[in-house]
Amino acid sequence: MAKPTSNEQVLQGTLDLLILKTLSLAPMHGWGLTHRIEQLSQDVLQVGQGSIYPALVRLEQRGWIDTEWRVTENSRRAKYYRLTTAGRRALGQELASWNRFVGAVGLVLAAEADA
Amino acid sequence: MKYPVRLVAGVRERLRGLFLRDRVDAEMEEELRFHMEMEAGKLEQSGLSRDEASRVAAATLGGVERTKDEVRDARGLAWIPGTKLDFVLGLRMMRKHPALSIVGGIGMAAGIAMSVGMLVFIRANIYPTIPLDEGDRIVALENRDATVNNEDRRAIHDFLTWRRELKSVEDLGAFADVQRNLSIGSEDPQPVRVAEMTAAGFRIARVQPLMGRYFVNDDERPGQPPIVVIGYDVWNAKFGKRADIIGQSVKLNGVVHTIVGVMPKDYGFPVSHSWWIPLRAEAAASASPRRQGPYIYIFGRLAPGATLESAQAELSAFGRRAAAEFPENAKIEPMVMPYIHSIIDIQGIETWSVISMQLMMSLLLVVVAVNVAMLVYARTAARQGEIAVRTALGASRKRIVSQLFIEALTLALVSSAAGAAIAYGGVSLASKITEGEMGGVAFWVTYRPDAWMLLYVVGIAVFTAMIVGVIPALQATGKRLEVNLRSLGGSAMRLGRTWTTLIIAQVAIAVAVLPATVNFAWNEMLGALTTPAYDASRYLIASLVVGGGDNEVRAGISSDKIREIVRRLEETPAIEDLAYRTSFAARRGPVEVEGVNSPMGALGFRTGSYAVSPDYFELYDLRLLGGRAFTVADMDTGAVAVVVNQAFATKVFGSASALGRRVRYAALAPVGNPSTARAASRWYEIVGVVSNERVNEAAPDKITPALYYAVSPATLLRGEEIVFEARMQGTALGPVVPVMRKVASDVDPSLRFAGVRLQSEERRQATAIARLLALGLGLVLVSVFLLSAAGIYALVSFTVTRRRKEIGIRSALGATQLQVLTAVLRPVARQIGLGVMIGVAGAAVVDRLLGGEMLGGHGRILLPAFTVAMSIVALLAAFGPARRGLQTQPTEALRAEA
Repeated sequence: MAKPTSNEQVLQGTLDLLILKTLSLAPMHGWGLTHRIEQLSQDVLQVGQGSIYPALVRLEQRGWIDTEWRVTENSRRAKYYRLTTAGRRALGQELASWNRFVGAVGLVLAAEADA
Repeated sequence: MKYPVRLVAGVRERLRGLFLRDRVDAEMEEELRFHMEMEAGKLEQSGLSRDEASRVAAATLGGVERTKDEVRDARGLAWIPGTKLDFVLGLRMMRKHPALSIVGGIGMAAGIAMSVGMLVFIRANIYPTIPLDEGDRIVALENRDATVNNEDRRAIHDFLTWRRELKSVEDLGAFADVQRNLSIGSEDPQPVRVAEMTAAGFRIARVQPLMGRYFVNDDERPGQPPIVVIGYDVWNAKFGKRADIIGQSVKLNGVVHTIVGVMPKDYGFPVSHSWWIPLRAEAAASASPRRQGPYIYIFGRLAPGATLESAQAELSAFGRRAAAEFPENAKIEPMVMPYIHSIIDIQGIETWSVISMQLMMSLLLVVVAVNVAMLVYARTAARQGEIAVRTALGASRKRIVSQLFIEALTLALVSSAAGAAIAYGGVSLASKITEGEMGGVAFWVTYRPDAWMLLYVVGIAVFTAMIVGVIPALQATGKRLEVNLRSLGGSAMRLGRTWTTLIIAQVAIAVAVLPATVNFAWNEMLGALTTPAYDASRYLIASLVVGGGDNEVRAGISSDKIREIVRRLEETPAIEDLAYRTSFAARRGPVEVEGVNSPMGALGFRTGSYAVSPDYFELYDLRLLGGRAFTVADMDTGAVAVVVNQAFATKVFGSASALGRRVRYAALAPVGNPSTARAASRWYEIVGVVSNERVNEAAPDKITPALYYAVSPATLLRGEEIVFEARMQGTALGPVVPVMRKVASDVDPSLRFAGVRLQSEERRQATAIARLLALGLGLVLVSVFLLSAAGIYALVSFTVTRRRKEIGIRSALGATQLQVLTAVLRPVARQIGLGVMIGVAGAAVVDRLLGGEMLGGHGRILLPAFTVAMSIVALLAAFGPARRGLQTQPTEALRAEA
């Protein structure tokens, strides 16, 4: 399988966090989700459209998101995803862990050479 | 909190995926379609054409099918469509390789049938469940006689003690299996089997009568009017289900019995009975001393809380007390055991011996499976290229092995279904033609498949598929894969020495064993067509023995006593005519005829020799075809007169006269043990020829040639079995048996008649066994034959695949088809030739070991016939793949080389 090389590709493991965060703003369908993430990142992050669905299935199996078939503004039937209570809790934990991670990386990068 | 939520959601989602897979797939399809349409719409707005937009949308998604696969992977359900595909592929492979499917399938079906059949038989007969309420708590009690290490069923006194005092066994009862002469209205009397049973026998079963009542304790008291309870089958067959059956009467041994109840359908307790009369246990006990009286089976139900062990402990205490009190009981140990073990007499059967029986039968399946594995391995060779390509495309070894396993499993499952059907059919057929315990199929014997058997059949299919599919797959996907990728067209797989040796061994075994087997089975079947030339249903046969029960002894009986027995029996109105014989000189070996040259100096066929009473020919209305019958003088010890039957005369002398010719028993050379050596007997002179006792329209030569001697008093004293044969007034054995017993014990209390039976009955059982034998041998035969052919097919198929390049080059260089064919077949022919040679040598050794029995008669033709047949089958098996080799286009083979 070809591995993404671009910096803008979503880092392995962060996609779940992005999805949870985005869904915490509003329930939405898969296509909307990919574009919303891109839009929120001001088009810096490119979510592989094919990788969003397996990630959604994983999250659903963990009980973090729920699905529902709804009719869109254009009168199309679409599968909407929404955060569950467990998902909201998980988002909090994932966020904390992400912040810890970013902080740790920052510390390493900010280190000065010892005299 | 977190984990339960995840668990429930995950399980729900997975179950949805499993059971609503189509719906889940459809939803996914719809979701992805929506995604692409939205994406395409957006792209169209940015100026792309509609087609272009759709194309780019699909590409952005990364391929719809791939996305679907990834979603399925995420669900953990990826294996489902893959497995389904493998099964479909498996079915396709079965169609594509019909020879392998048919041969492997039949072989495996036969092997599975053997294994399953054995287990079905064991489960139904040795470890059955009693289909009664809490049937597993029904037990049997026996007195074991330590001096002879056998059960002693004459235990009416102990039974009464136990019934009064045992705490750990309730509903203690007993029955005797007796024969009674039944007459209904003015019908002729006929024998029926009756359970003479205490009232507890009905209580223990906890089954209510269909009509009327069953026995109560009072019915056992002396002086109560005779009553009988009948089974549903009897009510149906004898009384046409008449509603007013209760109160009707029948005669049993001439005594009027009133019918008081009808038991429901399929009720057969204690074994397979449909007639029950009360066992008057107290009266029987007071009429006989200890360890005498009726031959009874004792049963009961474990009391609540009691176990076999606690019951045994209590019973042993009773046994010790009785042993101290009564000298007759000194060596008697009472035992408690599962009910059925006592009835079918397998007390203390070792579980491991049953398991080893099962393993032996299942071994055949392993042999078959290994052979089929060989075929599959050879076929896999043809698919090396496919496997290599798939590996290169990223299929793991596990994936490929599992695909080959599922292909094998597909075939194994089909074979298992067929095998199980054969097994169930065969076992229930066998139980129908052979009699079960006490002349009927016991009520607990059922051959209905259950969940456990289904599990076993599936398990055995998986096991077979492991051998057939996984072993070749592991070998085929071994280290040489890279090599294969480089030489896609050919195959670097080698048919190892093991496989080749197996094929040679297979052919050798087939040639060595099949002719003898066929000869044996054929003779058995033809022999079974021989029927008596008289009405066998009116003739009885019985052995006169010294001693009783299981303690029979072989002892001579004086001719005076025998004459007295004959005289008194002939006075019996039920017996029309009577004669007796011994199986004279049965151990003397082959018969030799003076002036007739035959191999080993003796006749090349079996003969029967009987020492008969002078009136024997009269009994069977055997006509004197020449010479004379016996006179009293022929009964002298030194007499040399012998009468032969027509079969003997025709077989030995053809149209020439047999009269005056001389016969004797040939000398026997010692075989191993010097005591087996025997000098030739004196010469006997043929004084008469009588017609045959039996007829066989299909194969007259199957009638046993017989020599009759006049029985001498000295012969009777030798202690050989003395067999009485009699023609009765009617066909009912019932009234005759007690008379015969009485006559024997009146003449000498130590004498009794054993095994009194109708000749028609004996014949029926004998032929049933012959038929079963033929069936079993037929199965083995077909399996061995097919497998040998299959082995050769695999061998040639493999050779052709491996040598495709070579064949292509030869063709390209202008070799004729014949030359190519020769090149392909030569190594195969060498292997088959080697196998045949070893086989012929093996057959000769087997024949020598069995004293020429196996290849006698037809066998002489069969060995060469089989060698030829085997070669033809081998050629045919080889020709298919060889022709495939011929069709190899030079260009194709050479292209594969590149």
